[in-house]
Amino acid sequence: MILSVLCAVISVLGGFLPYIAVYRIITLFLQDGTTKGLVNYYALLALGGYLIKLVFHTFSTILSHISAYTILEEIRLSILDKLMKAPLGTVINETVGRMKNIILDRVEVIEVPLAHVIPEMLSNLLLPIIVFIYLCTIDVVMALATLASLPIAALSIAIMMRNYNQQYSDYMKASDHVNSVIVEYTEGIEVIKAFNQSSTSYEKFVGAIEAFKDYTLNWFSSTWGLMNFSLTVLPSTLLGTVPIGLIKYMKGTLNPSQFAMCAILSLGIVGPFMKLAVFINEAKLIEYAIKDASKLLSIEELPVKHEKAKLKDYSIEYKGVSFSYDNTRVLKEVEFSMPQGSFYALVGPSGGGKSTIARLLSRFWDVAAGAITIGGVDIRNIPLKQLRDTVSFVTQDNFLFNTTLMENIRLGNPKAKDDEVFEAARAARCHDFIMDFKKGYETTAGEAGNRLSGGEKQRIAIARALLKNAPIVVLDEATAYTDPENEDKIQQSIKALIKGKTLLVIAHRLSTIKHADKIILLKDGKILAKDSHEGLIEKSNLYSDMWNTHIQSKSFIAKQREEHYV
Amino acid sequence: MFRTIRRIINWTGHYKKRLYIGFIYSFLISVCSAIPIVIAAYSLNRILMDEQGKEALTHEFVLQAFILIVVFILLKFFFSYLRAKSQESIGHEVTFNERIRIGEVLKRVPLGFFAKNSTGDLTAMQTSELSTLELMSMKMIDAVVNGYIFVFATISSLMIFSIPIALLCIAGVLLSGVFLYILNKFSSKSIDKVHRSQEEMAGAVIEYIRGMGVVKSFGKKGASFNVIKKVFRDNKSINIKVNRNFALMNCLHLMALHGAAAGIIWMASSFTLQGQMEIFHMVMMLMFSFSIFAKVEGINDAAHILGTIDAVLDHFEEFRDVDYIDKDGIDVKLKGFNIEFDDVSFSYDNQKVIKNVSFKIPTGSKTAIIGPSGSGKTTLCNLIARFYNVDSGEIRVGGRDVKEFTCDSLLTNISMVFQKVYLFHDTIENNIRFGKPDASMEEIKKAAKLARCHHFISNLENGYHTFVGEGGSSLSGGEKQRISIARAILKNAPIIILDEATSSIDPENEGYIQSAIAELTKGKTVIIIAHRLTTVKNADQIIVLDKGELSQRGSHETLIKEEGIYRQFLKIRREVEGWSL
Repeated sequence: MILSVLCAVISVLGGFLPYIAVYRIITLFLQDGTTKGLVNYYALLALGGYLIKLVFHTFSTILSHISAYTILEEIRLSILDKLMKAPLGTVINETVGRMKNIILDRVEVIEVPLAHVIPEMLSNLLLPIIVFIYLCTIDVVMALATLASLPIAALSIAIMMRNYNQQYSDYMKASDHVNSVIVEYTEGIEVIKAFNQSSTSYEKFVGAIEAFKDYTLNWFSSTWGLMNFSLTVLPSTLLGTVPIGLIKYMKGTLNPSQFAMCAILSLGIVGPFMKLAVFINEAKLIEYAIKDASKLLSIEELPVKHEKAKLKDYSIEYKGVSFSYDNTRVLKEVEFSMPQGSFYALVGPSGGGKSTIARLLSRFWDVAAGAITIGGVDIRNIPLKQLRDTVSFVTQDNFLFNTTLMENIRLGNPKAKDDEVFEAARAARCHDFIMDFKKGYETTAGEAGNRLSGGEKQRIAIARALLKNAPIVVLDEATAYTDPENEDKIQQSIKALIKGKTLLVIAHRLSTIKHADKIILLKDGKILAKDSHEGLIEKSNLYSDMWNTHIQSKSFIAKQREEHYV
Repeated sequence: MFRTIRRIINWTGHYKKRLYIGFIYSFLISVCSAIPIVIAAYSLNRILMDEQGKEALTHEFVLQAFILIVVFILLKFFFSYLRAKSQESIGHEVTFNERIRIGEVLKRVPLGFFAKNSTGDLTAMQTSELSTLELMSMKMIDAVVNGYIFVFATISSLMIFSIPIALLCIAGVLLSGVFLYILNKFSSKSIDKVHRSQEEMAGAVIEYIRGMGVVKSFGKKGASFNVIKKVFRDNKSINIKVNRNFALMNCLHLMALHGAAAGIIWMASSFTLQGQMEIFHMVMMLMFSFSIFAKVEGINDAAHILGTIDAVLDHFEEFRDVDYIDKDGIDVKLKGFNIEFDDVSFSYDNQKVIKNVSFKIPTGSKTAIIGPSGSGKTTLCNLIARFYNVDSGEIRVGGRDVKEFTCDSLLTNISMVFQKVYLFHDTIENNIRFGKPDASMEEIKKAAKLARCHHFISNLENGYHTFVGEGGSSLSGGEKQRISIARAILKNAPIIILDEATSSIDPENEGYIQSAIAELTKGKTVIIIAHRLTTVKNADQIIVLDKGELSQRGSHETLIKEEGIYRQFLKIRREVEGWSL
């Protein structure tokens, strides 16, 4: 980077040589001291200056790009590393799209200042300064005369920018609006068509686009006047140089070659000035990008222990666990304990805290108060790796990596032999459909792509968990309904997975879990009751209501259907 | 590069005239920028004459020079303004027309179109890609065309003073043009590479984040981190390489121009030395040598951006030649709503998906379609709504071939309820009203009650006026599903096609969804992709599909007596529905 700056400086100095050459030539002519040799010499000097300027500019650009992209890479990697160490809960709360946007697109914006602004801005800033100083050595008044057009242009830019920020944010709003209308029209087009609403929706669509066009044109056309005025005046440095130069000559304080030099140099300042104006514009964007990136970089990390913990068994205990989320209490002093090998189910209305309880066990977040222990050890004192080997969390999120199906399953236990992978795949009922692929287990998830149904992906995810063979399984029961066409196979694979394990189930359909050792009834983050199915039916009104609705809704539908069909 | 410029000019369509008028203004702007330089040179001449005592310099002349400069600056401003007015708005106006045109196309293509063109691509095209054109196209025209107009206008005025120097300038510009051409070629080629690398990065980052839960729970941090590291490194080296090539070409391009500039200095001073040129002219040449190429120098960036624009234009041209499935359709009003498949075959991507299927569905009856996954159930339903045209055979609705209809008039008769629900970013009320635009509030509430969503809607703070988040995100899957059913109830189409998987979306509330569906299908001609025992048992007719072929057909009572897929289906469903852990 320093080298790049150095090259940029040399390049600027080189770019200044032609001016000196021209100045010398004019002076020589005016003093009648020209010879062929001198002309050739100065013309070559100009050429050499240009060469130096270009070569070093190119060097500088290449160097600055190398360092810019290296820095981008480092920023990205450190963000990713940070995310890995942050509580999973924090990460999954952000939408993937937004994260991607920050890590890729926003960080990319930083490339511009790093790669361009430094070499180019520097030279564009440096050149006018050198020229100005050089002019000062000729004549201070002339130097100032060169800048005569600056205040006029600055004034008109200032007027133009007066409410630029407001206008710009309005413009962004209008643009967002029209984009969302477009997105909605396009994404919703199937519904629009299915409901024959093409014409009305289309009118809305046209209306929004038209309004946006009018807005944009209005704004832009209102700036054309001042904008073009500034852009015309700013480079018109001759405005001051020529008349003042003439006057100074008449007064006898400026000789002809100095006049020529001032005129030439004032033309040389023009280009850099214009570029400078453009760069200032980009500064805002960059500021936002850096802000976003540093927000991600400042996420708090989950504290981790490294010494392996000794678990006396695989029993689980929640001791007075409370947890808040965005300042809302989600769990209040939840207390229960599960012996090793038992089957517990969490039930209750949605939003009652079932998923949160389960997620806390995997340390998606840390509890706000109380503690969760496995085998008597607080999970915060268990190294993450060990915790992960101990607990399998099976959810509807059946993510596959874009590698072979074999490796996707082997992820559960990197040391597993091929045979063990096959065995797990068979138990999870995915062996057959994998073998249907031309490349079998060597098919990548990407190649299989759309040919894998939700249920098939789910079963691969279960095979992975099977291979991992963790003693504790947390299961989101909804997993079983990912793919109604293959419900039976998913159910069989789940059966294989949970055999002999300590099992905690987030339950949705009560009939599925009525054989649980204990059912924990949750509402608004509190445990209302914990008992067996029979016990709860007797003791809890809420539960027996839920049970009845469940049963009824099953028969209700059947009954209603029959009425129609008779 | 010049091809892209020509494409942009063509893209502007009937705004072309304004574009050309803009070019004339550009020429005038160039003249106005050049004259102050001539004045400066002339002033120097006057100084020299004064020096030599030929003609004294007067205050009058100073004033004249000043006024002339001011006048030309103002003229330049005036022409710049006119140019902006005639050219700059074109981008926005053409974009406007283009967006409308795409909207029009989307309105008319069959739904099957969206299976091939993802809505994501279509949205990107209308938003970001068009924005590139909107904001950049005119700037590029300005940079390239007006840049060359400027340089050639200046060169032609140099011609008056010295033909060799003018020729030198032309040579410099042409040589730089060659390098720009190569640079542009490089860019268009590398844009693909950079683009692909960016997509790879996006893919990797998404995989990394989405898979983070898995990675963490399987303690495989290293593996996935290595993948992403490699992708990042590749991206870095591709970018560096592209930029290096760019910088080198750019260097050559500038070299040509600067070489010519140095040449001007040499030639002008040599000519003057040989007495072939006046000092005044020489000084003018020297001054021009610094500014003449300024605008052409800036074209390098344009050459880069034009590559992107070219790719965008390609995309749009592809989109121009879609044809409409219902070109010859007419508005058909139906009396009956029976559906008939007559020896229908259909292939998708060269694979036969439906093979010689024939059956009849009488008005007002319920038909359940069952079959293993991939047997063609969904395709069969899509064919009724004519998302695609059949390869052979005929599908008749109410006795008329679906090909006779316009898509709109066919869909008036059909409501489809699928797993994928799309709600608009609008109030719940308007989302339901979508089924029938002139519906009263009473009708909407009635439909909502029947779809079992009145209750939860009323519990919301703003009730029916609650805004549904983008894509309907603030509501649970089951709630969204029920709103979409309310919409369909309000539409009250005589034919209902639905996928029963719908109810699995939200196992906690599936009872509600089931009863909403029951309301929707009351008294209608119903085709249902069935998963539940009760649904199947109560259907008037069951169609069993296997690998695109009709394998069994009949009522529950008849099919149960046959050996076949149906029995297998029943057995599995019994097990599944009685499942417990």
